[in-house]
Amino acid sequence: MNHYIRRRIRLMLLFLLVLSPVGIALAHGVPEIAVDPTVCAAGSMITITGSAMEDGNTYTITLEGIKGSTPLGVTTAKSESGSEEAGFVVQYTVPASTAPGSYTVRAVTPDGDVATADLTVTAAAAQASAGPAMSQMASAEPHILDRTKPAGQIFVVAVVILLSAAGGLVLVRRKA
Amino acid sequence: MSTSIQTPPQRGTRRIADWLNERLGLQGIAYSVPEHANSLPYLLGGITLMGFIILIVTGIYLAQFYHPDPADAHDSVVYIITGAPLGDLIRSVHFWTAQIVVVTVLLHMLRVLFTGAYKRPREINWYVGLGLLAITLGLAFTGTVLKMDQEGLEALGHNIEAATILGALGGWFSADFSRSTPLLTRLFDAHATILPLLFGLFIFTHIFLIKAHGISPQVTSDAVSRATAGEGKSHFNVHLVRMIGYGLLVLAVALLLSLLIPAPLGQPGVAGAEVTKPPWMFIWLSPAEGVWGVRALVIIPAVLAVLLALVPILDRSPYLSPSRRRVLVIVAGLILVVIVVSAIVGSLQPVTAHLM
Repeated sequence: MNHYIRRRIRLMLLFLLVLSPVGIALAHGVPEIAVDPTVCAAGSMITITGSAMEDGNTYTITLEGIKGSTPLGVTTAKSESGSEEAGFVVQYTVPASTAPGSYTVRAVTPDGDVATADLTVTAAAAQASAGPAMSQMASAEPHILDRTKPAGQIFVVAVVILLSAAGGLVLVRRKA
Repeated sequence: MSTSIQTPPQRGTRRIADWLNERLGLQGIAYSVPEHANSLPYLLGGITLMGFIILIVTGIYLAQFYHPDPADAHDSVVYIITGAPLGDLIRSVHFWTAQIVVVTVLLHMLRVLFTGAYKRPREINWYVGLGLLAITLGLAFTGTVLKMDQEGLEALGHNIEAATILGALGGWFSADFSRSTPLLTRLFDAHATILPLLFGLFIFTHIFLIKAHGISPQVTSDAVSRATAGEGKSHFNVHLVRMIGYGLLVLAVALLLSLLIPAPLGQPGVAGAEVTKPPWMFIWLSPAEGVWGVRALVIIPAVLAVLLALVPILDRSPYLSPSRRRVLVIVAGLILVVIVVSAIVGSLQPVTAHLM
């Protein structure tokens, strides 16, 4: 096998490695956690599910962001009867004071086994609202705002519309 | 007896035009182009470009007032509507022009597909065009998220979940990519700098290649694909004037729609809920998402992109007429029908939750 072919095989292997989904990397024996939902409002509840863990290991769970680390709680991984792997399902409330932004939920054992998951925190619904149509419930309704425009502005825009349309038509219909 | 040569007096505008022509070489744009290049189907790309100029100008204005932070984004859009000078009007023109541009870019792609304008020697320009289509849809998607209303927040949720499915390839969309900068801020960067920069590079290449190869020949039963640079009875300055004319019409339509139906803004987004439908250009994916979940949003566009990329490779005959390319035209037509029907179904069916 010449050098050129070996180099191509190495490149292909590297390419496949890059394309491999994260799930493949997180194979049996490597603890992992999942957060549901992945985007939540400050003050709301999240569910953290741990898997591929060692039975009896204690995990300290924290919410880590640019401004520091916020402890969420401590839990122990347990295995179901007959299963080699252990895990946990816990629910925590994201502190209402959490600033909106990108966070990492980190579960770590005293031995240093770590599992992480991403969490995006938005402002609490009441804080994010502005204007008269404030709602703390998710809604597909439009945000009601006063969008009336002064008569002068409407007149000027109407003139611009007419000029643009007339100019456009003249240019489009102009003979070559 | 002596004689003197006298030049006829010139009008002021003519003198200005001559002065500019001498210094800028404007006569260089009057190169020959075929007459069919000035018809509406062959002007769709140029109309899209004119729309992008409106989008850039209005986008620069909006960026002065928009705050790309999850906590303040929606408030800043409210301020644009209620407080910024002409903010509601300019935001609405930006919104409506974006809708028009998505329509014209899709029609432009269909015109190129059905008239065989992707054939040799224009294959690479087809791929550049696909890149421009992807950039346009990327701009439409990021623009939707930036509002941070319920629709925007749900789009962001779909984005994050799609990135998870993509694994390492979706790393940029992960919140963990940058702990110092929220994903929303980075999507604004994409909307206002990264994608426009890519658009600039791609459109420059697109125009350069159109100039190099010329407009594809008019479709007749025996027409074959070939370079036409330097051919034709018309001139590019005529083409350019029509492009500008249609650009003014786009502006007039966008302004009229802005007065009649101002750009929508939903309630502030509440995380964890799914109560809105995606924007019309993505709603065709909704029925598939209902069946296969968010992974459909990754897999189906990827399959469609691969099929579009294969078009110049599979259809290698030189003929432009659709009647000589029946298989491709029928398959493309069927896919188009499925997309349209899916969009109608997606519009009519009730909202269902898909996010994990």
